Amino acid sequence: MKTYIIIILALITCSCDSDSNSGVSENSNNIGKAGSLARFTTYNDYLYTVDNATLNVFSINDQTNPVKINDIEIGFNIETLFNYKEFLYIGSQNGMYIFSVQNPEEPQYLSEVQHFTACDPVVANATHAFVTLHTDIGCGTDINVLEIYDVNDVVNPVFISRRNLTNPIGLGLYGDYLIVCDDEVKIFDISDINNTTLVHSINRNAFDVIVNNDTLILIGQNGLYQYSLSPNSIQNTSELSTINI
Amino acid sequence: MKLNIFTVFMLSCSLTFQSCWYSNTDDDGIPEIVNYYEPVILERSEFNNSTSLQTTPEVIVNSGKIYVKNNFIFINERNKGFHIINNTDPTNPQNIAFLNVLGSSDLTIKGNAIYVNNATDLLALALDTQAGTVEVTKRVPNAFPQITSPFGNVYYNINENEVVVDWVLNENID
Repeated sequence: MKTYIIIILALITCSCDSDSNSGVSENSNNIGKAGSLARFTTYNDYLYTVDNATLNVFSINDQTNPVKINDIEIGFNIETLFNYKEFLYIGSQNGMYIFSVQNPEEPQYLSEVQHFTACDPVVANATHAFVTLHTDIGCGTDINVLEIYDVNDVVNPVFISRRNLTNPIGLGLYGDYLIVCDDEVKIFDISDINNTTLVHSINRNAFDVIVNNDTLILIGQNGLYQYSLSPNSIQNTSELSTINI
Repeated sequence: MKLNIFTVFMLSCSLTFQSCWYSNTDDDGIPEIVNYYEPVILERSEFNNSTSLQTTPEVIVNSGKIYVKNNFIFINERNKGFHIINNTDPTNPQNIAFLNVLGSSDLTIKGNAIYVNNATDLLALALDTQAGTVEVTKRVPNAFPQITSPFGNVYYNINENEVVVDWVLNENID
């Protein structure tokens, strides 16, 4: 049994170069994929992390030897970090920040959108950023929405729409579809960004999601759930497995 | 004095959390929320040797963030480490091992290196596939702030050679 596990673990680190990847372009075989709640991301030879108030930059030119080379004060209650091409999208309880890492050692502030309170993760593609906001603590506010911003001009994000949800948290993109962990897992068609529609739902309680090629991986308090996805038939999600927690 | 809506709102917010204000007195018999959680503290020497690979699975209790690399899914066990799931067959994923990393929440992988937060430190890890162990190839101490309680509390009485690795419910409170 132990030998078997060692072989498996060997595969984790050694199989990086072999299998193909039809995912988004920045997701090379060399790196994996995180959920939308992540606070760590890599871009080229750099590791970026966020903590409560700070964006940290580490050089991983020598992968075994990360060296801290910069830290940038951003704000308060920073929660998530998402990388799309040379941009970092940072979700905080007060808003969304966009930084450029074109100069990777000196991330440049580009823009932000501010909310009064309760911002959560953000994901983005070439044209739009998607942010969920939720409140689960009493502070007089009750905001549970999905917001969409046009980020064609990253220096000047433009608010497009706001949709009421129940308690949205993690989210992920699958081509023309946006998958949101709400009271159920909801799949929206975003091909017409001004008229997004719910096209499918999966009755699972999850707080984060990874879209890994055509596999949907959901994590919740009570389980790890996997479904197969098909871009041509989004209603036909079939459950692959469940690990109960 | 004329109060605008914002001021009233902020005041009500502060009243909502008044029980979070730290106080040593327990005059009304109701425990302060801050005391519901207490920090788990390790000496640096012990903490620095606490990262290990366990080639037997652990039961998933308090699931955290997930990360996917090739055929493997990493599930964070909050502040404890990462369950390693062999997902070669997504219809039959297998929980095969556990990576002990105290005070962890996040993991990312580039090439052969695994980067995790180990409470206040950043670790670069290399799995030694021959021995079935994990090696810390680099520790960047104090790269991150102290991990806070679920209520956001910071433990201020920490010594330089100590690290907060978790917060647990204080069972001595009625």
